[in-house]
Amino acid sequence: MVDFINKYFIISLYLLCLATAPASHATGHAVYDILMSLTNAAGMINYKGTFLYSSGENTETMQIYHSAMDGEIVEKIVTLSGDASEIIQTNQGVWCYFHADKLGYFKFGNSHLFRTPGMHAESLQGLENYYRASTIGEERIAGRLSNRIVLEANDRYRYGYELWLDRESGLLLRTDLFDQNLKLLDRYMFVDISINEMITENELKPKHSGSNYIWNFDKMVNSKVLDDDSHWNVGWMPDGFSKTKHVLSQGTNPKEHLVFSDRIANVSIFIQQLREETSNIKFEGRSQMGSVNAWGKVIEDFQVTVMGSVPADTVRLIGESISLND
Amino acid sequence: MKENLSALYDGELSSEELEPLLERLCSDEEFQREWKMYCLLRSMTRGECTNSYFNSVLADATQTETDDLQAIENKPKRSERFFSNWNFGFTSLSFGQGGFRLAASVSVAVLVGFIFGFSFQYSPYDPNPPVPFIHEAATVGATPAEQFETDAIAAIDESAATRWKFKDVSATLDREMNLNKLLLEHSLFSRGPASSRHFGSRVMLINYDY
Repeated sequence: MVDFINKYFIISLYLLCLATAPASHATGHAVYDILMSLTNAAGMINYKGTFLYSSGENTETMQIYHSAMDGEIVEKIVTLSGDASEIIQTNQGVWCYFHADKLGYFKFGNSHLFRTPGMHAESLQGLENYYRASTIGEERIAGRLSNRIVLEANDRYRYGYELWLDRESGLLLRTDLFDQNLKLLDRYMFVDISINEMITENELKPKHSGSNYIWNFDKMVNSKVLDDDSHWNVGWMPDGFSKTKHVLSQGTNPKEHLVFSDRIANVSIFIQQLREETSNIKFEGRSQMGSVNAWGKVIEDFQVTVMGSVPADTVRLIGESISLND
Repeated sequence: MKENLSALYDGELSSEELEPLLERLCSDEEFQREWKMYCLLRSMTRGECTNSYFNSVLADATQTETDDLQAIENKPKRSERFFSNWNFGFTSLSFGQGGFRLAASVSVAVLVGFIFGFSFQYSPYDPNPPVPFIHEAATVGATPAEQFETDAIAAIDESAATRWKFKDVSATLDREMNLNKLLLEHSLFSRGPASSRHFGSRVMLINYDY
């Protein structure tokens, strides 16, 4: 009972804060305009800094170097706590370095597969059907002025967000993810950031070349983007979600990957053919790591996995609606 | 305060301790400066930074500070902590809900295999290990859903931030490996104004509590 009272006290307090926010705060379309203009700008700037990621009892500290030159983006994330690890993403793929154990993992990928449609003027239209948007004024994050934007989910199929966007560049400086009970699920927050500074080649390189590491790699063989419909029928999606990518990867680990997005949240559906050597991946039911929920089921000889930062029941309901077309 | 910085850096604070510290980091410029200095010093003592700016920072630190930091750095590494719980030989291991037996000849390579789940195709002896090409690159019908259960089901495990937790099946290496691989692909294809969040998926993978 105490927990119940506490929970509703916090919710009431939160709603009261929203209701009593200064009159200058924008809502609805105006917020989406801010969101769109800022995030458009943020995609192609250089920045480096230190950020915290926290989820539950766990907090990690990381450094990030993000270089955007001539449309080519290179990003390096370095762990500052625990064992030294780095992950570097370029348009050619992703490299992971586990320095403590001299191990590496490489995933090759064609840039055209990763590239997603940019934000267009019309692309956030209609979003107010799924999220209630408002601003709560300006706040300082990592020593910079930011616009604080709240996106409250209109239904139980998606999470709510609080976003702190740098006023000058539009870069996301802090983001909090909330469930439908306004419980904090995770948080990313810069504590130190330099924007629009030159990122040197050395800063983007791994600490060690990894030439003496044991490397493990995955190659997307004959991967292609599919425009036509899948052999799979997805019978239900929350309102507002539409398919944004459909990739077929052949080779040693054939896999079909469908991505659905409501332009804020993303859900992936993976279909993997089960063979004798991969039968151990069979997974039915629910799994979770941090704010990411996954749900799996086996249909004939295929493993179907639904995954995303959406509520556990959303991935389950999507998963249960998937069937193989006749 | 140094203990707080150390605990924050190492991710050892409870959520109750963390919240006020994060709020202070947002608002207190002096605390932000201390935090920045602390991060640089820790990076230095780990031998991760070598340029002249970082050297000057280290030179400015007192001997006591650097000794304290060195002591922190001498703590067992995550993988060492992990191995310390293993009984080599043919002793049954308690691992997640599963439990498995492990041969004495276990290779360190198992670790990456565990994280991403692929057979090793490169070795230290391979003449062509992959390296980053930094400068070459430098409607669905909406059917009303019923049976929404989340309100009735609490999170599987609030501490499940660094490792997959399963509800309906046992946690096995192969299942975890496969989900890690899928999570990486999910992060690569995500989009939207909040998509900066999705580097978080990569953050989860390099911090995976193997």
